[in-house]
Amino acid sequence: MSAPPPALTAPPAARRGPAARRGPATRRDVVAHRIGRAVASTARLLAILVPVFLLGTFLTYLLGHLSGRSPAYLQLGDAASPQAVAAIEHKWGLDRPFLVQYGDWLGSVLHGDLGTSWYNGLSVAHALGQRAAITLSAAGVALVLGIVFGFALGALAAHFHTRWPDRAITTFTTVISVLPPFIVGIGLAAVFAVGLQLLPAAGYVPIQAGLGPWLSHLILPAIALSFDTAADVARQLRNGLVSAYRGNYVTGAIVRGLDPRRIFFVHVLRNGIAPALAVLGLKFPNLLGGAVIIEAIFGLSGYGVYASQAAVRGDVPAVQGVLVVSVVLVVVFNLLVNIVLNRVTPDADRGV
Amino acid sequence: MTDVPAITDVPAMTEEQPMTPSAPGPADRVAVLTLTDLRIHNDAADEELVHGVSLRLARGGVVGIVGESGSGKSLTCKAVLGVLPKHIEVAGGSIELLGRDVAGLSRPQWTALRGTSISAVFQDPASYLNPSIRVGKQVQEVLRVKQGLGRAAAKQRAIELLDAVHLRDPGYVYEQYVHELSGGMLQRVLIAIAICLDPEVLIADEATTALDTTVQAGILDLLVELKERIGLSLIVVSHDLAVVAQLCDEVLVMRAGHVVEQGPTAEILHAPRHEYTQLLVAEHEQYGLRAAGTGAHLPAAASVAAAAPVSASGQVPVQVQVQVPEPRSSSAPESVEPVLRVDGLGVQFGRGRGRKQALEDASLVIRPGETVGVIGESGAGKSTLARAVLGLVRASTGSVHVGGRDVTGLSGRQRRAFGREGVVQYVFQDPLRSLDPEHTVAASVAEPLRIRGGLDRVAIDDAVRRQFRAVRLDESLLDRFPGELSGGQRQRVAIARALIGEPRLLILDEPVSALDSANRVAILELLRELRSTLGVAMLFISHDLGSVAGISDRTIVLYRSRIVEAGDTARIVNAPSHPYTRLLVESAPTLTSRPADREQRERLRAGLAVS
Repeated sequence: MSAPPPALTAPPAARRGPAARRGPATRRDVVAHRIGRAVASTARLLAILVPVFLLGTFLTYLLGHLSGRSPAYLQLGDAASPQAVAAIEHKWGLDRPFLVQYGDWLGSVLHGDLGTSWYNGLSVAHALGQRAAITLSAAGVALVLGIVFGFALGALAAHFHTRWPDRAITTFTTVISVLPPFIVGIGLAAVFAVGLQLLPAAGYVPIQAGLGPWLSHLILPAIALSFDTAADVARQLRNGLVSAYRGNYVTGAIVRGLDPRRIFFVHVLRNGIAPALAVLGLKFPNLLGGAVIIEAIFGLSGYGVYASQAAVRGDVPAVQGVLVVSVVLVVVFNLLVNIVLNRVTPDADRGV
Repeated sequence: MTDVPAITDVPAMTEEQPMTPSAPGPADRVAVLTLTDLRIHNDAADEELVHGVSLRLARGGVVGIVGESGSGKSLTCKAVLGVLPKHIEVAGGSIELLGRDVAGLSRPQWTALRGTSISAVFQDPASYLNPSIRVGKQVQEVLRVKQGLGRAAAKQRAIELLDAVHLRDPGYVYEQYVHELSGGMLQRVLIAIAICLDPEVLIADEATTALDTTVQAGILDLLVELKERIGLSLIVVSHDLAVVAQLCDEVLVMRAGHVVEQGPTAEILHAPRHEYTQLLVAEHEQYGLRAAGTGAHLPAAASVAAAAPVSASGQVPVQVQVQVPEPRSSSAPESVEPVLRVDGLGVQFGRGRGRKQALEDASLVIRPGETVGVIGESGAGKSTLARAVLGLVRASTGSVHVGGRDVTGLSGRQRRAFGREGVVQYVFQDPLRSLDPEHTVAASVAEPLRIRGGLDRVAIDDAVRRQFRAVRLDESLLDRFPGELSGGQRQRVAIARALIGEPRLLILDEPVSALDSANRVAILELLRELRSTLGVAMLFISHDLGSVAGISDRTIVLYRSRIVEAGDTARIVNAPSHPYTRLLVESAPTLTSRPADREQRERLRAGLAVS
């Protein structure tokens, strides 16, 4: 029996792209095709990343400029003479045209130099570097907690879909998602640090001092931060999984004789996870933003505290530095989320 | 081929007693699957859905189940596979698979049984594969998990299997995702997965429904080949009697959960006892290829009453008058101004490298009262042609004249004014989506008149009622919403809406493809009648040669965006000249196709691949 030609069975729509090429596919073709796909998707990611970065930094710098703040008043007080102000502004290069200043600043930023603080003359990058470790530790642990509990709760709710565990989890996630982190933080500190005296109420120990002490200082702020993320991830995952279970391919997998565990992990999870991952990308800025308040409650001298102090003092380079770092962190995190999404559900073939 | 009794060859079977072949018949062989009075019950609604199905599938045999949606045929399959939906359970009778009652099987036992003893393929193959995993990996997965093969060995075996189901370039297919393959290719992939563990029984539940005719024939040929080569026993489920007739030794006809008729295929085809079976057979004789005047004897006018599917209003009986069609001569002389003249029409989508020629150099003429059929596979340009006539897509070359007026170059405003005149009307495949769900059907039917203006409410209301009578819809349905009507009733509403403005040309885009047999016949009958009473010209688009042949004076065959053949319908059906048309005619499921046709089809497929 001769092979029926796919030419007859394939509607033209299926023949676009590399599929239009006929003839046997060699292993090299397939590899080249995969590399091509990877390059194309990376290029797409960069095409988004670069404009977002430029626009973000430009707006950041513009805001600083529009604030009308000057290092002169910070250093000399309000009674400074115009000559002295002009001299200091000249020293900082603030008498140059705006775009020249921005270009100059952007060049330094690209080299990792965020300028020097108007307040104490110290390097902003250095100060942020020290503090970012604290903030990222708290946000990172919160993220891990959010993912772990979010996925566990979401998967459980989907498994017991419409039965009482599902309803209990839905109620629980609704409650914790409306609790603001600072309330949760104060509550946790009151119970575990003050009441039970199990954990330290404030302060930070670097990870070099040991995992236990590091974690014991971070766990309460991280839990407080993670509630919102865990709740949203759980709800999205539950809905994603429930609708994935309705897919005919699940019936297909059952009929092929695959076991339920494999069907869940290989087929359902993969197709139901996308909304939860997307939510994770949206939640990351919240984690960074929430850190500002949580750090104040738990006495962590992190980047949030630095930002608020700099803002109060009118230390424009320090605020700009914080914003640039935030923009980069958020963009990079979303990039990672999208790369994972593209890998998990290639059929969606989304950009960034 | 010796294994297949001449059951699919009906004329030959008429002389002798059916089911007494000299070779050991299916009945003598070991039964691999036996259903005894299987009853399926919906616990949530407390009603019985399937009222006792008994069948015996012999090793290497093929049993068919025919019935429309809701007849319980798919539930029966799901019960056999142990995948009934929640709250739906086997309430009585037994299912014996390979001598083992499956009633008490635990979940792990089922898991071990599925794939290795019994497997299945379904309608809409794209949805039965994981969209996020390359299709080859999904074949490989089953081999690795169930047979414990290593990665490399499983992959090699998977590619062998893809080759065995005649996918050209299996190595390439292996690496594709679902969205990169066509429906026919995906069904072959699913068949490869289904047979990869060498099961005894394969259930094909509407496995070729919604595929193009030629693709369907390819899949059916593959199933027959697998049955012969690896001794698979098949249960073939379809709403199309011809599909089942081509393959099966024995047929069950199901309706509303009851088996209304059961017996050897030849008997059922030749002497259907139940009126529903008679309708199914009559549909093929009326609207199959034989209706196009192949000289085959048609039965004397038979009146078949069939209950329509239960609608919101309960049982609505539909009277189907099946009559011998008078041979239609060309209804208008050549000199009459054509309703539609299409000259060298070309349509392009996109630009640059992504450009796609959707239609190329199409020319046709439709005169008043004439019906022209357009047939072709999906993506051939059928709908593009219709949409270009309506001006919904812009022609890149050529011209379209409607009623002698060039409508190709109309501006947006002129186009809308032309649309309000309602010279051309359109009926879509899916009336549920083309009727506004928030409007009563009377409001939908009245809309063209309201848009045109100049009539008061009473006059419009009168016109709507007249139109309802014309399409044989009860006036009690006037204030219903589309969701409350059955598929056939909705399509009548869509036709009423299209005809109320007295158009000169009616474009029907797959108007009966989504309907079951009874409704299909009824709608085609209605169209014939309206054509003779109103004298409206029709452009009838379908991928089903039978429907086209049953209603069209002339037929146009589209293949890969070009008209490859055009002419009198009887000529196209009886003496097709283009290889694609020949394959189409050979592929059309008829009640009488013979196994020899398969080789003929294979030759044609091979020929088309090089042309």
